[in-house]
Amino acid sequence: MQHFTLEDPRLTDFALGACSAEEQREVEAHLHGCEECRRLASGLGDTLSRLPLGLPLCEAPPDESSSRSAEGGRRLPDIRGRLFASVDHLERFSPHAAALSDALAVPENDARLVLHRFSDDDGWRPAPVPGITWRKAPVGASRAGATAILARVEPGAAFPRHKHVGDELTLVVQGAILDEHGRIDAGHVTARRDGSEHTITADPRQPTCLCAIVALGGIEFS
Amino acid sequence: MSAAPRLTGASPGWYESGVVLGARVAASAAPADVELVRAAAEGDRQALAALYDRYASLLLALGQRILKNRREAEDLLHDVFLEVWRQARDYDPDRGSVRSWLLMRLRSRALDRLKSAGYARVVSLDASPPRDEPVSLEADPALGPDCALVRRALAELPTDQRTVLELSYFEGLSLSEIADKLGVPIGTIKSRLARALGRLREELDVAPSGTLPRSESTE
Repeated sequence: MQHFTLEDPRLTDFALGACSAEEQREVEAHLHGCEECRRLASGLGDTLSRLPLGLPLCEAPPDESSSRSAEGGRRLPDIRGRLFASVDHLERFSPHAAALSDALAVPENDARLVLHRFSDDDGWRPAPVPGITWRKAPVGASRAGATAILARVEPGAAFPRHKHVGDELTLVVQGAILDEHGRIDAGHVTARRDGSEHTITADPRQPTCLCAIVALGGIEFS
Repeated sequence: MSAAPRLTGASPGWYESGVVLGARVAASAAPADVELVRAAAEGDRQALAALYDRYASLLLALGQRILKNRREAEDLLHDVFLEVWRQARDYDPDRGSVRSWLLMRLRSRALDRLKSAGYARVVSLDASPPRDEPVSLEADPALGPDCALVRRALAELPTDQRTVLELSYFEGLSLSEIADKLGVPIGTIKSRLARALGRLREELDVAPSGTLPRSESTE
């Protein structure tokens, strides 16, 4: 692809988010390798980002929920407060980031972001047994070859008896898991060793069990 | 990071942010936008709060302009800042200023909502009329000089160029949709948009009085 000029409609469309997925990929690929065009695109983006400054600025909703709309005295939602309530909700499993960081062998901040996935409704696939959904999780270089999953296990749901080929680490962040060896409560990491067998069940008296499982080898069904 | 000259003895925030801020902010040693985004990416809530306080008014104004509904714009503001919290590490300073990144995210989400099936119905069921809140032109003194500059530059654009720019940026219409709407050839629309952007770039590259030119050091 040739260099862009500022008048190039492809660049304008890109900056306005108006190009097709294919055009966007082409422009992205060119920008990735071309500092000059990257500067052009960045400058165009900055020019466009000045446009909203021409708008009448709204008063940002204040911290306290004390604002009222012009009509009827309806209380406006406290967006800043709502935002930080949402952040707190998203970060509710962050105290487990250090343990997950050890289990996955990834930096602690990466583990914190992995824990956010428990708050997503998208991205979960049904496991082959009822009551369990799961999704993959990343592992660090020192865990190469391991399989890591995040699982949501409904209260009382069970994963059938299986044998471990290689060690398996389980971190529970909500609810609890029961197996033949005992109980894993939230906040605990448990290792089930190579060759061990168990059936896992989510504690039926607890909320949906959320856990991370790192299988260093694999499993065989008994 | 680009190898832009750095201020010494003061926070470089006013120019690294891409926002031409007034002396008030430069003197208060406010952290640079880029630093705030980095800190937010590491889980620093105060950094997110500072970004919110700096840009909520502007983002809300854009959301309200696109969605034409205050309550929807407020919901979007919440969602975009939550997205920023989760994806702050995706910000690449090489691709533009933090303000540009925030506005681009909000605009993109707002246009998605605007075009989603059922949005018109949601808005029509909403009791609140469009632009239902009083606006404050001086909501953020730090943005004041920039606002005046942009308003002047927009006002000086020929109407046909400004119309194309507004339909494209605020309504999210494609060039061919604009051509259909205005009943003129798409080539004309393209050249009007290019000319409008060219003029704006020239006008807005001039720093407003009371702010420091980007190339100068404070020492």
